[in-house]
Amino acid sequence: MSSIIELKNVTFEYKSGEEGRVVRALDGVDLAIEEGSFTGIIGVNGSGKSTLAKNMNGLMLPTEGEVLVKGMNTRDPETIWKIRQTVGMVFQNPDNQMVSAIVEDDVAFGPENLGVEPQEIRRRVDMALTDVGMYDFRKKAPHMLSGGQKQRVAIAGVVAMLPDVIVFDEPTAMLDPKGRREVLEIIRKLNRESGKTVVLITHFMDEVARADRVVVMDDGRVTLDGKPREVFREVEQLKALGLDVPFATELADRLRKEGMDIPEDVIFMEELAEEIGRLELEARS
Amino acid sequence: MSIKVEHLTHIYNKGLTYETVALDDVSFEIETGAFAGIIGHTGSGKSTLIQHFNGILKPESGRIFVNGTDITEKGIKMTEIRKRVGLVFQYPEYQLFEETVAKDIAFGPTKMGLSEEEIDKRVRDAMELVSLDYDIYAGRSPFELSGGQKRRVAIAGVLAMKPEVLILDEPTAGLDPRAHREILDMLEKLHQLEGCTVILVSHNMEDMAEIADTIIVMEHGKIVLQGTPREVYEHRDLLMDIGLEPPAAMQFTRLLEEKGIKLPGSVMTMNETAEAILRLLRN
Repeated sequence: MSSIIELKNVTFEYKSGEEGRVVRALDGVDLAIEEGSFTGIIGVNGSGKSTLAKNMNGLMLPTEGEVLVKGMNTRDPETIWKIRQTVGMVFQNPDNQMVSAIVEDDVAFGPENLGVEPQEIRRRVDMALTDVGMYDFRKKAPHMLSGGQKQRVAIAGVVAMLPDVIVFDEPTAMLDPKGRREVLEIIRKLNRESGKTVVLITHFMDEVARADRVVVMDDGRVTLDGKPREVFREVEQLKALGLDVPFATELADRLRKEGMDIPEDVIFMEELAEEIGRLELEARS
Repeated sequence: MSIKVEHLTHIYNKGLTYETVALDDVSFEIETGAFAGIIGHTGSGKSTLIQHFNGILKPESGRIFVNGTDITEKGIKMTEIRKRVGLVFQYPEYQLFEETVAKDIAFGPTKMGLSEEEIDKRVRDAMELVSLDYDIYAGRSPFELSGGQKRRVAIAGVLAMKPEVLILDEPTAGLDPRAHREILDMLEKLHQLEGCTVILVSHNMEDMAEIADTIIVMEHGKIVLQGTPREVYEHRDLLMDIGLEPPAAMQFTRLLEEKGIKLPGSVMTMNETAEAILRLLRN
């Protein structure tokens, strides 16, 4: 597989407050995102996650270093629109991402701005709304929808631009459990069935347990990077960073500390239940 | 009795095609000094309910008593209600507006017409309650703080009015795990130190299991369950049916049960699960 986004030694600085203190939000980040992969990014508030995301499609330009999207440099004004079309972004608050009074108009907004032919727009809007399971709501007003439904419409708006990559910046933070489940399902489907490369930034560790890769940010740097199993076994380090681990990982860790024979890389409840079943059988015999 | 709600009904857009009954004959009581939780999915009526507690919404019918005073009565002064009930909205940090943290927290007490001295004391006390060092933060701009700190400033602004009842709507939404933990610890401390009645509105049943004495579950503008967390969480399937998510510990015990493993006692938290598993395996 090849990299679709490459960050090369990216540093991003901005001035904060009236005194103009310089804040370094990203500090020499090297990161390559594989085409078709599902990457989760975790880190506390202020660790640089969102800045990283906005550097991925040229919404922010690095102070130092380069960002390449399919080989195109985000600094190049000639290709910036092509880059934004290649890498779509979905943000936390769906209300801030709605522009129209009718769902299908909202989804059509992006392609219209790209100058796509009306017939093609129709086709894309229908496809995108079907992809997120909101086709039956196409004539509704967005404000009549639930938070999860609104966020799915926002996702459809990005899907209609036919991006190769979708970066989700805490897309479930404002949703209730049902809305969260709906949106996560759509994100997984877009990755598995539609082949989109997905980058998911979140504070919910369980949401990235099934990702191909988890990247942990701290103070503008990548501190851990690997498969979820490899990353989440570092329970102590993650807790020290102010993060969490999935429920099964933490429970397994506690049981292990009490002398129970449980593998170190458990991340799913199902596997921990299997282990406990095994231990229970052993205890009985 | 601290809060008593009697037959509260609220209808949005009454008489129009979009008429919606958001609260449908809701009655309950919350004891003085209790830590109560209200849960329900978006649109279940939680927010409509709490907006009645500080006079933002008036009921179609029914009454609300706070420590004996009917706050739905005609002619009652808003300032009277605000002294009794402090409401912290979702994402309260968006409402910060002053130049400094101290000024922002002082806004409510100033409007109450308190003396300079009393205002200063209240600002200091409130900052201590939310664990923000006065010497470091009082003179800073609230906009330079982290998300979790901003939220604590906003909560301090409500605490400075010394409400008898403190209501918080999703106070941990959008925070990272550490800031989330800090807010919960702060609420627990506050509840113990100040002894005020706290009502927490949240989707997070994990937090509720740990922190609340009593829980009210809402669905379609009605109360569907009410009791201690343990009593309420017994209804696991009903909770899942109405779009809520039982604590991870309970989802896990369900998985174990499917494998024929029954843990001793009922568990709601990580600690309880670990202890129950150890007891099972060591016996």
